[in-house]
Amino acid sequence: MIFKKQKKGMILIFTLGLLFCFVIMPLLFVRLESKRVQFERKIGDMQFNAIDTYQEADGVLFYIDESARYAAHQAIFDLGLKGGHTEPCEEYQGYALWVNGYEECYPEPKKALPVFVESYFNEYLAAYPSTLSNDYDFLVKQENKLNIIGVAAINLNFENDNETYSSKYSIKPSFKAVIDYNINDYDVLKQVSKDMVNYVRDCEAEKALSLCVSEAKAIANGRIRANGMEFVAESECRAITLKGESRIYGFCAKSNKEVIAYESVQGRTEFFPVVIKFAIKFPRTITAAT
Amino acid sequence: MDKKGVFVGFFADMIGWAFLFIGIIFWIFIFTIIKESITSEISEIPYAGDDVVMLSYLRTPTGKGIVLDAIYDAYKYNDNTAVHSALDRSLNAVYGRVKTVCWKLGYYVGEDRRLLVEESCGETKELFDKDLVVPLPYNPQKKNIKLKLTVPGYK
Repeated sequence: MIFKKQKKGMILIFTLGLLFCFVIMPLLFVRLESKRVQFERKIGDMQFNAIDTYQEADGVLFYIDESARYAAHQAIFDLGLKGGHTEPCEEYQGYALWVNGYEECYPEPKKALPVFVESYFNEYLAAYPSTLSNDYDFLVKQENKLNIIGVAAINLNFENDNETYSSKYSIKPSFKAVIDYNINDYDVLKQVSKDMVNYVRDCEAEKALSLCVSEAKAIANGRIRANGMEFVAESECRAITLKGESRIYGFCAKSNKEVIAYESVQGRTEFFPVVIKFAIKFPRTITAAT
Repeated sequence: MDKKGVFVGFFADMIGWAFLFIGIIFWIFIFTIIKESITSEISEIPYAGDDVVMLSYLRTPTGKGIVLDAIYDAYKYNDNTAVHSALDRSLNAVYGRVKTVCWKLGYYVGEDRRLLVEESCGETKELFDKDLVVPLPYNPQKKNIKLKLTVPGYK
Protein backbone atom coordinates (compact mmCIF):
# COMPACT_ATOMS: atom_id res chain seq x y z
CA MET A 1 0.00 0.00 0.00
CA ILE A 2 2.81 2.39 0.92
CA PHE A 3 4.82 1.52 -2.16
CA LYS A 4 1.82 1.90 -4.37
CA LYS A 5 1.02 5.36 -3.03
CA GLN A 6 4.64 6.52 -3.36
CA LYS A 7 4.83 5.44 -6.98
CA LYS A 8 1.57 7.16 -7.89
CA GLY A 9 2.70 10.46 -6.29
CA MET A 10 6.07 10.32 -7.99
CA ILE A 11 4.52 9.72 -11.36
CA LEU A 12 2.09 12.61 -10.80
CA ILE A 13 4.64 15.30 -9.88
CA PHE A 14 7.24 14.13 -12.37
CA THR A 15 4.67 14.07 -15.15
CA LEU A 16 3.51 17.55 -14.10
CA GLY A 17 7.13 18.81 -14.19
CA LEU A 18 7.65 17.34 -17.66
CA LEU A 19 4.38 18.76 -18.85
CA PHE A 20 5.25 22.21 -17.46
CA CYS A 21 8.82 22.38 -18.80
CA PHE A 22 8.39 20.77 -22.19
CA VAL A 23 4.78 21.42 -23.17
CA ILE A 24 3.05 24.29 -21.33
CA MET A 25 5.92 26.77 -21.17
CA PRO A 26 7.24 26.12 -24.72
CA LEU A 27 3.68 26.61 -25.96
CA LEU A 28 3.44 29.91 -24.07
CA PHE A 29 6.83 30.93 -25.42
CA VAL A 30 5.86 30.17 -29.01
CA ARG A 31 2.56 31.99 -28.50
CA LEU A 32 4.35 35.06 -27.16
CA GLU A 33 6.89 35.02 -29.97
CA SER A 34 4.09 34.89 -32.53
CA LYS A 35 2.54 37.95 -30.83
CA ARG A 36 5.90 39.71 -30.95
CA VAL A 37 6.00 39.23 -34.72
CA GLN A 38 2.64 41.02 -34.91
CA PHE A 39 4.09 43.98 -32.91
CA GLU A 40 7.01 44.53 -35.28
CA ARG A 41 5.45 47.84 -36.37
CA LYS A 42 5.24 49.20 -32.83
CA ILE A 43 2.07 49.48 -30.85
CA GLY A 44 -0.09 52.39 -32.00
CA ASP A 45 1.92 52.93 -35.19
CA MET A 46 -1.23 53.23 -37.30
CA GLN A 47 -2.84 55.66 -34.87
CA PHE A 48 0.31 57.78 -34.71
CA ASN A 49 0.37 57.85 -38.49
CA ALA A 50 -3.19 59.24 -38.45
CA ILE A 51 -2.28 61.80 -35.77
CA ASP A 52 0.78 62.90 -37.78
CA THR A 53 -1.44 63.51 -40.79
CA TYR A 54 -3.83 65.56 -38.67
CA GLN A 55 -0.93 67.55 -37.19
CA GLU A 56 0.51 68.31 -40.61
CA ALA A 57 -2.90 69.69 -41.56
CA ASP A 58 -3.11 71.67 -38.33
CA GLY A 59 0.21 73.37 -39.13
CA VAL A 60 -1.11 74.44 -42.54
CA LEU A 61 -4.40 75.64 -41.02
CA PHE A 62 -2.41 77.71 -38.52
CA TYR A 63 -0.48 79.24 -41.42
CA ILE A 64 -3.75 80.05 -43.23
CA ASP A 65 -5.40 81.52 -40.10
CA GLU A 66 -2.44 83.73 -39.25
CA SER A 67 -1.90 84.76 -42.88
CA ALA A 68 -5.53 85.84 -43.01
CA ARG A 69 -5.08 87.84 -39.82
CA TYR A 70 -1.99 89.62 -41.13
CA ALA A 71 -3.63 90.18 -44.52
CA ALA A 72 -6.66 91.66 -42.76
CA HIS A 73 -4.48 94.02 -40.69
CA GLN A 74 -2.67 95.22 -43.79
CA ALA A 75 -5.94 95.55 -45.70
CA ILE A 76 -7.52 97.71 -42.98
CA PHE A 77 -4.44 99.93 -42.90
CA ASP A 78 -4.28 100.37 -46.67
CA LEU A 79 -8.04 100.81 -47.00
CA GLY A 80 -7.83 103.81 -44.66
CA LEU A 81 -5.05 105.40 -46.69
CA LYS A 82 -7.15 104.93 -49.82
CA GLY A 83 -10.15 106.59 -48.18
CA GLY A 84 -12.14 103.32 -48.10
CA HIS A 85 -12.08 102.88 -51.87
CA THR A 86 -10.34 100.30 -54.02
CA GLU A 87 -10.33 102.88 -56.79
CA PRO A 88 -11.60 106.34 -55.84
CA CYS A 89 -13.90 108.18 -58.26
CA GLU A 90 -11.58 111.18 -58.14
CA GLU A 91 -8.20 111.69 -56.51
CA TYR A 92 -6.36 114.86 -55.57
CA GLN A 93 -2.77 114.90 -54.27
CA GLY A 94 -3.16 111.34 -53.01
CA TYR A 95 -6.52 112.01 -51.33
CA ALA A 96 -9.73 110.26 -52.33
CA LEU A 97 -12.34 112.93 -52.96
CA TRP A 98 -15.47 111.97 -51.07
CA VAL A 99 -17.19 115.16 -52.12
CA ASN A 100 -16.23 116.75 -55.40
CA GLY A 101 -18.26 119.93 -55.59
CA TYR A 102 -21.82 118.82 -56.11
CA GLU A 103 -20.84 115.18 -56.68
CA GLU A 104 -20.56 112.70 -53.87
CA CYS A 105 -18.48 109.55 -53.96
CA TYR A 106 -18.52 107.93 -50.56
CA PRO A 107 -16.74 104.62 -50.05
CA GLU A 108 -18.29 101.23 -49.47
CA PRO A 109 -15.63 99.75 -47.18
CA LYS A 110 -17.42 96.44 -46.62
CA LYS A 111 -17.14 95.81 -50.35
CA ALA A 112 -13.65 97.25 -50.75
CA LEU A 113 -12.00 95.55 -47.77
CA PRO A 114 -12.31 91.96 -49.09
CA VAL A 115 -10.54 93.04 -52.29
CA PHE A 116 -7.53 94.17 -50.27
CA VAL A 117 -7.65 91.13 -47.98
CA GLU A 118 -7.78 88.73 -50.91
CA SER A 119 -4.84 90.37 -52.60
CA TYR A 120 -2.55 90.12 -49.55
CA PHE A 121 -3.85 86.72 -48.50
CA ASN A 122 -3.04 85.29 -51.93
CA GLU A 123 0.53 86.56 -51.58
CA TYR A 124 0.86 84.57 -48.35
CA LEU A 125 -0.58 81.41 -49.91
CA ALA A 126 1.76 81.72 -52.88
CA ALA A 127 4.76 82.00 -50.54
CA TYR A 128 3.98 78.75 -48.68
CA PRO A 129 6.41 75.90 -49.46
CA SER A 130 3.64 73.63 -50.82
CA THR A 131 0.77 74.52 -53.11
CA LEU A 132 -2.32 75.96 -51.41
CA SER A 133 -5.55 76.79 -53.19
CA ASN A 134 -6.51 80.47 -53.23
CA ASP A 135 -10.14 79.85 -54.13
CA TYR A 136 -11.95 81.70 -51.33
CA ASP A 137 -15.10 83.75 -50.90
CA PHE A 138 -14.75 86.64 -48.46
CA LEU A 139 -17.31 88.09 -46.14
CA VAL A 140 -17.02 91.10 -43.82
CA LYS A 141 -19.19 91.18 -40.72
CA GLN A 142 -19.08 93.82 -38.00
CA GLU A 143 -19.93 92.64 -34.51
CA ASN A 144 -18.13 93.87 -31.39
CA LYS A 145 -15.01 93.32 -33.44
CA LEU A 146 -14.54 93.11 -37.19
CA ASN A 147 -14.90 89.57 -38.54
CA ILE A 148 -13.37 88.75 -41.87
CA ILE A 149 -14.53 85.34 -42.96
CA GLY A 150 -12.93 83.36 -45.76
CA VAL A 151 -14.91 80.42 -47.06
CA ALA A 152 -12.75 77.94 -48.91
CA ALA A 153 -14.17 76.47 -52.08
CA ILE A 154 -11.71 73.58 -52.31
CA ASN A 155 -10.71 71.07 -49.66
CA LEU A 156 -7.13 70.71 -48.51
CA ASN A 157 -6.03 67.08 -48.78
CA PHE A 158 -3.25 65.48 -46.79
CA GLU A 159 -1.83 62.03 -47.27
CA ASN A 160 0.73 60.42 -45.02
CA ASP A 161 2.20 57.22 -46.43
CA ASN A 162 4.65 54.94 -44.75
CA GLU A 163 5.58 51.33 -45.55
CA THR A 164 2.47 49.84 -44.02
CA TYR A 165 -0.13 52.53 -43.47
CA SER A 166 -1.64 55.39 -45.38
CA SER A 167 -3.66 58.14 -43.70
CA LYS A 168 -5.78 60.61 -45.62
CA TYR A 169 -7.23 63.80 -44.17
CA SER A 170 -9.37 66.30 -45.99
CA ILE A 171 -10.58 69.62 -44.62
CA LYS A 172 -11.99 72.91 -45.87
CA PRO A 173 -9.45 75.54 -44.79
CA SER A 174 -12.01 78.28 -44.11
CA PHE A 175 -11.00 80.94 -41.61
CA LYS A 176 -12.30 83.81 -39.52
CA ALA A 177 -9.96 86.68 -38.71
CA VAL A 178 -11.24 88.71 -35.78
CA ILE A 179 -9.75 92.20 -35.68
CA ASP A 180 -10.27 94.80 -32.99
CA TYR A 181 -11.56 97.48 -35.37
CA ASN A 182 -14.90 99.02 -36.30
CA ILE A 183 -15.46 99.40 -40.01
CA ASN A 184 -18.53 101.53 -39.27
CA ASP A 185 -16.04 104.35 -38.59
CA TYR A 186 -16.41 105.07 -42.30
CA ASP A 187 -20.16 105.61 -41.87
CA VAL A 188 -19.47 108.04 -39.02
CA LEU A 189 -17.00 109.98 -41.19
CA LYS A 190 -19.42 109.92 -44.11
CA GLN A 191 -22.12 111.55 -41.99
CA VAL A 192 -19.64 114.03 -40.54
CA SER A 193 -18.47 114.98 -44.05
CA LYS A 194 -22.05 115.71 -45.12
CA ASP A 195 -22.55 117.82 -42.04
CA MET A 196 -19.30 119.69 -42.70
CA VAL A 197 -20.41 120.48 -46.25
CA ASN A 198 -23.75 121.78 -44.95
CA TYR A 199 -22.07 123.80 -42.22
CA VAL A 200 -19.60 125.40 -44.64
CA ARG A 201 -22.39 126.21 -47.11
CA ASP A 202 -24.24 128.15 -44.44
CA CYS A 203 -21.14 129.64 -42.83
CA GLU A 204 -19.54 130.86 -46.07
CA ALA A 205 -22.20 133.50 -46.52
CA GLU A 206 -20.62 135.36 -43.63
CA LYS A 207 -17.05 134.11 -43.28
CA ALA A 208 -14.09 133.06 -45.35
CA LEU A 209 -14.03 129.44 -46.61
CA SER A 210 -10.90 128.45 -44.66
CA LEU A 211 -12.37 129.76 -41.41
CA CYS A 212 -15.65 127.94 -42.02
CA VAL A 213 -13.79 124.67 -42.76
CA SER A 214 -11.79 125.05 -39.53
CA GLU A 215 -14.98 125.58 -37.54
CA ALA A 216 -16.71 122.64 -39.24
CA LYS A 217 -13.70 120.44 -38.59
CA ALA A 218 -13.63 121.39 -34.90
CA ILE A 219 -17.33 120.52 -34.51
CA ALA A 220 -16.82 117.27 -36.43
CA ASN A 221 -13.82 116.40 -34.28
CA GLY A 222 -15.98 116.48 -31.17
CA ARG A 223 -18.40 114.06 -32.79
CA ILE A 224 -15.86 111.53 -34.07
CA ARG A 225 -14.04 111.45 -30.72
CA ALA A 226 -17.08 109.67 -29.34
CA ASN A 227 -16.24 106.90 -31.83
CA GLY A 228 -12.58 106.67 -30.86
CA MET A 229 -11.28 108.84 -33.70
CA GLU A 230 -9.91 112.34 -34.09
CA PHE A 231 -8.75 114.55 -36.92
CA VAL A 232 -4.97 114.85 -36.88
CA ALA A 233 -2.32 116.51 -39.03
CA GLU A 234 -2.34 115.21 -42.58
CA SER A 235 1.29 114.13 -42.21
CA GLU A 236 0.04 111.24 -40.04
CA CYS A 237 -1.81 110.03 -43.12
CA ARG A 238 1.43 110.21 -45.12
CA ALA A 239 -0.03 113.11 -47.08
CA ILE A 240 0.65 116.75 -47.71
CA THR A 241 -1.55 119.41 -46.17
CA LEU A 242 -4.03 120.81 -48.64
CA LYS A 243 -4.46 124.55 -48.22
CA GLY A 244 -7.79 124.91 -49.91
CA GLU A 245 -6.60 125.14 -53.52
CA SER A 246 -9.68 124.73 -55.74
CA ARG A 247 -11.73 124.67 -52.49
CA ILE A 248 -10.28 121.20 -51.66
CA TYR A 249 -9.42 120.35 -48.04
CA GLY A 250 -7.83 117.12 -46.84
CA PHE A 251 -8.76 115.28 -43.66
CA CYS A 252 -6.96 112.63 -41.71
CA ALA A 253 -9.02 110.77 -39.11
CA LYS A 254 -6.91 108.71 -36.74
CA SER A 255 -8.48 105.80 -34.89
CA ASN A 256 -7.46 104.64 -31.43
CA LYS A 257 -7.29 101.10 -32.88
CA GLU A 258 -3.97 99.79 -34.12
CA VAL A 259 -3.07 97.19 -36.71
CA ILE A 260 0.22 95.51 -37.52
CA ALA A 261 1.03 96.65 -41.01
CA TYR A 262 3.74 97.54 -43.49
CA GLU A 263 4.20 101.27 -43.88
CA SER A 264 5.82 101.99 -47.21
CA VAL A 265 7.24 105.46 -46.40
CA GLN A 266 9.28 104.22 -43.43
CA GLY A 267 9.58 100.72 -44.92
CA ARG A 268 8.68 99.22 -41.53
CA THR A 269 6.17 96.66 -40.35
CA GLU A 270 4.85 97.41 -36.89
CA PHE A 271 1.70 98.43 -35.04
CA PHE A 272 0.25 101.62 -36.52
CA PRO A 273 -3.02 103.38 -35.74
CA VAL A 274 -5.61 103.10 -38.47
CA VAL A 275 -5.93 106.40 -40.31
CA ILE A 276 -8.61 107.30 -42.85
CA LYS A 277 -7.59 109.86 -45.42
CA PHE A 278 -10.10 111.71 -47.56
CA ALA A 279 -10.69 115.13 -49.09
CA ILE A 280 -13.68 117.32 -49.69
CA LYS A 281 -14.04 119.82 -52.46
CA PHE A 282 -16.57 122.11 -50.90
CA PRO A 283 -19.24 123.13 -53.38
CA ARG A 284 -19.56 126.82 -54.15
CA THR A 285 -22.52 128.29 -52.41
CA ILE A 286 -24.91 130.51 -54.34
CA THR A 287 -23.73 133.48 -52.28
CA ALA A 288 -20.10 132.72 -52.99
CA ALA A 289 -20.75 132.24 -56.68
CA THR A 290 -22.56 135.54 -57.07
CA MET B 1 -0.61 4.11 8.14
CA ASP B 2 -1.88 6.83 5.91
CA LYS B 3 0.37 9.38 7.60
CA LYS B 4 3.43 7.27 6.96
CA GLY B 5 2.46 6.77 3.37
CA VAL B 6 2.23 10.50 2.78
CA PHE B 7 5.58 11.15 4.50
CA VAL B 8 7.44 8.55 2.44
CA GLY B 9 5.70 9.69 -0.74
CA PHE B 10 6.81 13.28 -0.21
CA PHE B 11 10.52 12.38 -0.12
CA ALA B 12 10.12 10.03 -3.02
CA ASP B 13 8.68 12.89 -5.10
CA MET B 14 11.67 15.12 -4.47
CA ILE B 15 13.09 14.45 -7.93
CA GLY B 16 9.82 15.54 -9.45
CA TRP B 17 9.65 18.69 -7.27
CA ALA B 18 13.27 19.56 -8.07
CA PHE B 19 12.61 19.11 -11.76
CA LEU B 20 9.56 21.37 -11.58
CA PHE B 21 11.46 23.99 -9.56
CA ILE B 22 14.40 24.11 -11.99
CA GLY B 23 11.92 24.29 -14.85
CA ILE B 24 10.14 27.28 -13.31
CA ILE B 25 13.47 29.07 -12.69
CA PHE B 26 14.54 28.41 -16.28
CA TRP B 27 11.34 29.81 -17.74
CA ILE B 28 11.33 32.82 -15.45
CA PHE B 29 14.82 33.56 -16.77
CA ILE B 30 13.69 33.19 -20.39
CA PHE B 31 10.61 35.36 -19.95
CA THR B 32 12.54 38.07 -18.09
CA ILE B 33 14.82 38.52 -21.10
CA ILE B 34 11.86 38.71 -23.49
CA LYS B 35 9.96 41.09 -21.25
CA GLU B 36 12.86 43.58 -21.30
CA SER B 37 12.82 43.78 -25.08
CA ILE B 38 9.03 44.27 -25.15
CA THR B 39 9.27 47.13 -22.64
CA SER B 40 11.96 48.94 -24.61
CA GLU B 41 9.97 48.70 -27.84
CA ILE B 42 6.93 50.34 -26.28
CA SER B 43 8.91 53.11 -24.61
CA GLU B 44 10.54 54.04 -27.92
CA ILE B 45 7.26 55.31 -29.31
CA PRO B 46 7.64 59.12 -29.60
CA TYR B 47 5.27 61.74 -28.25
CA ALA B 48 2.99 62.78 -31.07
CA GLY B 49 1.64 66.12 -29.86
CA ASP B 50 4.59 68.34 -30.84
CA ASP B 51 2.94 70.37 -33.60
CA VAL B 52 -0.16 71.12 -31.59
CA VAL B 53 1.96 72.15 -28.60
CA MET B 54 4.06 74.50 -30.71
CA LEU B 55 1.00 76.04 -32.34
CA SER B 56 -0.52 76.78 -28.97
CA TYR B 57 2.73 78.49 -27.87
CA LEU B 58 2.64 80.70 -30.94
CA ARG B 59 -1.01 81.60 -30.38
CA THR B 60 -0.39 82.68 -26.79
CA PRO B 61 -1.41 86.34 -26.34
CA THR B 62 1.27 88.81 -25.27
CA GLY B 63 0.84 92.45 -24.28
CA LYS B 64 0.35 93.42 -27.91
CA GLY B 65 -0.76 90.73 -30.33
CA ILE B 66 0.36 87.11 -29.93
CA VAL B 67 3.73 85.37 -29.53
CA LEU B 68 4.01 85.15 -33.31
CA ASP B 69 3.95 88.98 -33.52
CA ALA B 70 6.62 89.16 -30.82
CA ILE B 71 8.78 86.72 -32.81
CA TYR B 72 8.57 89.15 -35.71
CA ASP B 73 9.88 91.95 -33.47
CA ALA B 74 12.77 89.72 -32.41
CA TYR B 75 13.46 88.64 -35.99
CA LYS B 76 13.21 92.05 -37.60
CA TYR B 77 14.22 94.53 -34.89
CA ASN B 78 16.19 92.38 -32.41
CA ASP B 79 13.61 93.24 -29.78
CA ASN B 80 13.58 89.99 -27.79
CA THR B 81 11.86 91.20 -24.65
CA ALA B 82 8.29 90.15 -25.40
CA VAL B 83 9.09 86.82 -27.05
CA HIS B 84 11.56 85.90 -24.32
CA SER B 85 9.15 86.44 -21.44
CA ALA B 86 6.20 84.84 -23.28
CA LEU B 87 8.06 81.69 -24.35
CA ASP B 88 9.89 81.30 -21.05
CA ARG B 89 6.57 81.41 -19.21
CA SER B 90 4.81 78.99 -21.61
CA LEU B 91 7.62 76.43 -21.84
CA ASN B 92 8.25 76.38 -18.11
CA ALA B 93 4.53 75.91 -17.49
CA VAL B 94 4.63 72.72 -19.59
CA TYR B 95 8.12 71.25 -19.14
CA GLY B 96 9.52 73.07 -16.13
CA ARG B 97 7.40 71.66 -13.33
CA VAL B 98 10.44 70.07 -11.69
CA LYS B 99 13.28 72.30 -12.88
CA THR B 100 13.48 75.49 -14.93
CA VAL B 101 13.95 74.62 -18.60
CA CYS B 102 16.28 76.10 -21.14
CA TRP B 103 15.12 76.65 -24.71
CA LYS B 104 16.19 77.93 -28.07
CA LEU B 105 14.17 79.68 -30.77
CA GLY B 106 15.79 79.95 -34.16
CA TYR B 107 14.95 80.23 -37.82
CA TYR B 108 16.27 78.93 -41.08
CA VAL B 109 17.90 80.92 -43.83
CA GLY B 110 18.04 78.32 -46.56
CA GLU B 111 19.61 75.35 -44.81
CA ASP B 112 21.42 77.44 -42.18
CA ARG B 113 20.00 77.75 -38.70
CA ARG B 114 20.21 81.10 -36.94
CA LEU B 115 19.49 81.66 -33.30
CA LEU B 116 16.85 84.24 -32.45
CA VAL B 117 16.59 84.01 -28.67
CA GLU B 118 17.58 81.44 -26.05
CA GLU B 119 17.82 80.53 -22.39
CA SER B 120 21.16 78.86 -21.77
CA CYS B 121 21.32 75.21 -20.72
CA GLY B 122 23.00 73.34 -17.91
CA GLU B 123 21.58 69.82 -18.06
CA THR B 124 20.86 68.18 -21.40
CA LYS B 125 17.66 66.24 -21.98
CA GLU B 126 15.69 66.68 -25.18
CA LEU B 127 12.17 67.70 -24.23
CA PHE B 128 10.87 69.37 -27.39
CA ASP B 129 12.13 69.89 -30.93
CA LYS B 130 10.00 71.13 -33.79
CA ASP B 131 10.16 73.07 -37.06
CA LEU B 132 7.22 75.02 -38.44
CA VAL B 133 6.61 77.45 -41.30
CA VAL B 134 4.76 80.52 -40.02
CA PRO B 135 3.63 83.73 -41.72
CA LEU B 136 5.18 87.06 -40.81
CA PRO B 137 3.27 90.35 -40.54
CA TYR B 138 2.86 91.73 -44.04
CA ASN B 139 6.01 92.82 -45.80
CA PRO B 140 6.29 92.92 -49.58
CA GLN B 141 9.70 91.20 -49.46
CA LYS B 142 9.16 88.36 -47.01
CA LYS B 143 5.93 86.61 -46.14
CA ASN B 144 6.96 83.67 -43.98
CA ILE B 145 9.75 82.05 -42.03
CA LYS B 146 10.64 78.54 -40.92
CA LEU B 147 11.01 78.50 -37.15
CA LYS B 148 12.76 75.97 -34.95
CA LEU B 149 11.83 75.71 -31.31
CA THR B 150 13.77 73.35 -29.06
CA VAL B 151 13.77 72.63 -25.36
CA PRO B 152 17.12 70.83 -25.04
CA GLY B 153 17.17 70.46 -21.27
CA TYR B 154 17.20 72.20 -17.92
CA LYS B 155 19.10 75.25 -16.68
